[in-house]
Amino acid sequence: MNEQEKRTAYIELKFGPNWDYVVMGYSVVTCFLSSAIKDGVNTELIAIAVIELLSNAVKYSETKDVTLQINVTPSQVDIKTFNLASEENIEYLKKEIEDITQGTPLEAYIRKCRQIEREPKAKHSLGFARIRYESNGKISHKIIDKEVEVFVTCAILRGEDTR
Amino acid sequence: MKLPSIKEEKFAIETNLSEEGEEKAINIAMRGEVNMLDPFPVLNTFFTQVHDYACSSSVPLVKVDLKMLKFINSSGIKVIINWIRLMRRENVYNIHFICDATRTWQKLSFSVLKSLAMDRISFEY
Repeated sequence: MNEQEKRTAYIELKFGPNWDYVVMGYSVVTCFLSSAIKDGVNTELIAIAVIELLSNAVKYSETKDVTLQINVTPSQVDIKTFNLASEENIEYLKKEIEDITQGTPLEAYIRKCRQIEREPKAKHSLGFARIRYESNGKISHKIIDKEVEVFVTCAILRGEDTR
Repeated sequence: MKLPSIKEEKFAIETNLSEEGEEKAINIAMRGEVNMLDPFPVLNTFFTQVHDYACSSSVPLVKVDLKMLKFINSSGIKVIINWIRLMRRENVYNIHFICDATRTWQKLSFSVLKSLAMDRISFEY
């Protein structure tokens, strides 16, 4: 059975160009995930991962239009954002994702917090480290020319699973 | 000098000064959702004012009640990290976070902030 058949819920949203719509998106995403994930104990953490990913995409999108897709299967949530970005922001994104995937999620999050504390004026993003640490999301990306896709996969925890 | 407060559409922060015996504390209560694109100008001004007040009035403890805080984005957490940097520089007060035990993200993210100043940041949930 392929992933498409196992999919139990799906949503695709296109945002732009106003940040207010992204803020509203948090309520939409939270409602969607609450109904799509039965008995999940980390639904709120996954919703936060979605909004952090979306916020990051909107902030660094060249055109301020961002597409968000969320696929829910019985065991995981697959999140994808798609947007156009400048060369500078693409390089920044690649560097950030490479940095926060070093070490355990906790180590990466602490490292990021310390970088931010030591260099308050530097451009440091905490969003990806937060996604990885709080929801244990696996982060990857695909870049073709100026088109950026960022993927996050979060396992759904149920019952006695704890964080 | 007055303690600051914030009242925005989606979130608010209230402050007061309490004295129990000889122990003074600034109490901060955050409520709502901090999800602005750039919360730095508003939040940084707020926490800088709290810091200045604590230092000038020699208040040894600032308590931050997060139980009504539904969400704070990573940009907002960065502002709190900046506040911790200010706190560490002056050695006047400590910070105590009061988290909502039902919000796992608070326990996860705010407990990590303790690593920035082990003996000066505490939390309960």
